[in-house]
Amino acid sequence: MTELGELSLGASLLLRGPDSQYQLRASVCPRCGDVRVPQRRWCPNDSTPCDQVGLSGAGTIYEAVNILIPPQGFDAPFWAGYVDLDEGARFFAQIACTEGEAPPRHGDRVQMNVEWIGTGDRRVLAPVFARVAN
Amino acid sequence: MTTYLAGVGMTPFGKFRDSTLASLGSQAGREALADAGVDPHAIEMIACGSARSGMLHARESGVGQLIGWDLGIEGVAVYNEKAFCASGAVAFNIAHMALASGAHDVALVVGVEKMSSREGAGRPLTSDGMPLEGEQGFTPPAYYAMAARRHMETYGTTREQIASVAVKNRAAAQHNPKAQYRDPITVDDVLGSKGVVWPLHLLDCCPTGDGAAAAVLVNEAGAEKLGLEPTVRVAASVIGSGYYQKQDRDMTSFSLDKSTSARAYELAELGPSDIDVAEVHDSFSVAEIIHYEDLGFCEPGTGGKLVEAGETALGGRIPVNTGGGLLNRGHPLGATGVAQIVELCDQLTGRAGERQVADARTALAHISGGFHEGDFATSGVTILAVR
Repeated sequence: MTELGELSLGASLLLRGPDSQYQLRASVCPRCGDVRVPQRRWCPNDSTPCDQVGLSGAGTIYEAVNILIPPQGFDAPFWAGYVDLDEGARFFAQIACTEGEAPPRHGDRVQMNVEWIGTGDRRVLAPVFARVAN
Repeated sequence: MTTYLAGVGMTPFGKFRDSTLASLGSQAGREALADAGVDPHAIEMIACGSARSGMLHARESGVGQLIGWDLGIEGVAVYNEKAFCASGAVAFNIAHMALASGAHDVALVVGVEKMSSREGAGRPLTSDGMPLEGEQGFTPPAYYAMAARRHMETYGTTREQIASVAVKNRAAAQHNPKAQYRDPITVDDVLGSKGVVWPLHLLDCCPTGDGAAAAVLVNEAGAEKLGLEPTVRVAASVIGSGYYQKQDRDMTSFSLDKSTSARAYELAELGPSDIDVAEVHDSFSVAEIIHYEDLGFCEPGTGGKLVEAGETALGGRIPVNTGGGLLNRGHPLGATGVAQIVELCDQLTGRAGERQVADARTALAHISGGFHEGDFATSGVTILAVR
């Protein structure tokens, strides 16, 4: 089972919280509070060593698009975009949108779920954001 | 010291199955050397830009050495630059700095890429610099489509205005015999082409291809040694990396391009209104509209109206992408930054034929390269002027 981040970063971006819910592995600067996904060892603002933190995955869509011609390892169409997580990090991810549902758009509130994405040997367990009531 | 363009050359851009990195690079190099009237043995340094030579052709290092060898240039300093789409622009910048400092007096700059075929297995042509996002299906057009959606919603930019960039640049390309695509197209053609990432369609997106471009640069000492009297001066060449501290960036504007262009204008002692002709990164049609604004050619939010009014077309106030742009001249990644210089040199020396901008005396080239953590990885701005 390959989790997001293992192919590209050598480490999963997924954490299990105290209630066994998935969280997003991030870093937080103890000095300035800067939050980064993927996590950083050193804060880019003040070079302070960062702590690891798990994010709940609540956020707001900055922008989302419908990818009609997919890259290798994906079936189209699918929605993806930037989510501004409540803790302050911006994160690119797939966004759930079933046929007949209104398209995701700027300002929609979302919550992270974890699903399998991709096909074949590119298949990974990854955050997929679903819209929730604003 | 001041640096000058002594000569330029480029191959046609397209898909040339039998070509190699060496054959493309040396063809462009020979043309530039002949244009300058410079013997290959007079070259004191080579700067070479290529982005995917390792991934596609098992030639990660030494592309500049390979091309120099093919040209009969030996025993010189060779610098190989890799900065995504801006690789050629970074090579140009390195040569400019070396000549301006007096470290060398005569340089050959080459940008080259062969993308239509690969030797052996390689990784797919997606998401270079965005490996984590690539695991989730990120593609470069998705990035620009998000920027397009924000620009449309924030400023009322229309889908037709975005498509008109592709139409305008194709109209210019029909006069460029080295462009990959030259048949005129209409806004309806763009909107009717296959959807890639809404709102972008296939004709909003640059093609892949093969090609090379080259330039011979000299400083005053080099010109004197070789008996040259070059007329095109490098007024500024600036490279910058992205800004990553701020994460909630506004995708209707790219701050990196604002800073590189501001520095270039400062060095050149010129402003946006002084520019007579420009080459602007248009890997995706909407990018050109946003870059107009960040380069200062118009106010924020008015780039769509600028292209719609024809002000950036041939005959307009500030013609942009007279060679066809990345969309139509083609975009062999490492070659593009130097191909922009070739086009602008031809414009400033009155050699651009039917796409000539009358009385062009100052020119600007802009290119973006790669992505990193939601911003661009590289931006390059060059300003050229008739001395």
